[in-house]
Amino acid sequence: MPDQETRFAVLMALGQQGDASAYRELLVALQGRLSAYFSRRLAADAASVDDLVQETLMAVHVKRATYDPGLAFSGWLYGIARYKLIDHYRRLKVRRTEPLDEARFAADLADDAEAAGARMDLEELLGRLPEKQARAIRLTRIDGLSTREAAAALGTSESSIKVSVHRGLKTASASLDDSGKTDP
Amino acid sequence: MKDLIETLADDLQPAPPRRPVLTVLAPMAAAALIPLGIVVFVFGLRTDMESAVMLPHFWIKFGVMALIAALAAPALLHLSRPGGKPGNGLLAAGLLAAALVLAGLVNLVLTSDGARIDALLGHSWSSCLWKVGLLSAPLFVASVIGLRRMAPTRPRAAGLAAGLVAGGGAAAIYSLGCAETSLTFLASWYLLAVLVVAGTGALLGPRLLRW
Repeated sequence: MPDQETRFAVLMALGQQGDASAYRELLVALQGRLSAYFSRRLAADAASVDDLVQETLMAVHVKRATYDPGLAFSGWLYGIARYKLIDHYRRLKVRRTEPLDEARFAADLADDAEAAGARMDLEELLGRLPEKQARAIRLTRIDGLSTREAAAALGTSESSIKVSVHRGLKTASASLDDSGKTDP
Repeated sequence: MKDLIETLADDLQPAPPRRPVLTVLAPMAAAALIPLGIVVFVFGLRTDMESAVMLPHFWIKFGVMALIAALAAPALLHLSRPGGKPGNGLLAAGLLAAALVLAGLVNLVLTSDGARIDALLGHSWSSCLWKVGLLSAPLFVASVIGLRRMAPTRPRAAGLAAGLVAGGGAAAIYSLGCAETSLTFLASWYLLAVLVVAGTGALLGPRLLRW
């Protein structure tokens, strides 16, 4: 175990210097660790485990500069994991109010889908969009990241995220309108 | 998940370790120029400064308040990182506050009957409260900006520590313009002001420090 600890610390230190292959190795190893951590606590809820692993990896990435290679890596990692877990519990308790345009989009989606008599799955809808737009929407609207975090996660600018989300939502609602017309 | 990892690793930018001393404390130190300027140019330094610096009460007021901030500062630094624990700093600051209250009470008992109200209220108890609160605001804002660049995973404790550092620092700066001499005054109004700032920090922490 202490060897593992040292290995993670070294890989992260290399990652902080921009070594992508060390960083990839670290993230792959962490994925297993985090899966185990969340599974132990949310045994019955496999979907949430996946979400939380993903969220935590994203947070590890966005906040990687706050790791001090002189300190224990697991303390840092599980500090983030615990924080995300508490966040998850809180979301279960209190449904966060959705931003207006998201609520409107969801309402449009429901209305149009009803009018069209077609139960359009959100994932299916996102699947029709270009990969970049779908990913931007998924991160900001479904995973609940801020524009800045999503930009950091995808390695692009905030404005490019905004443009992708905007275009994606527009295309998505247009395709819903179309399916409403063709299939009354 | 593979996708995500590939995405994250592909455009990896170097991200040198961020030091909380530079990220959180340095901005607070810079922001301290604002309350310092307000005390010097708006509230005014005490007029008897030259003789006051020879007296113990001047240094006790400044020293105890600065010590509260100094004891809470390491806790603030630890709490700015994921998994960071407050350590003994907050406890030490709490013990110092308790000792101060005790000293204030003893002082009150030793004061002659007629002078007790003066020892407790001084001439400026109400302005002490709001002025220390006002002076602490720039320090607290600076700490929040710094903490948000880090990644506190115990936002309530981090907010509390930030409030103690900001409140203690602001009270020390305020003391440069305050002519009160009684230990009881320090133990009541100064301490109350610091605790209000610390409590505000603990209350706002979870909201302001979300990430």
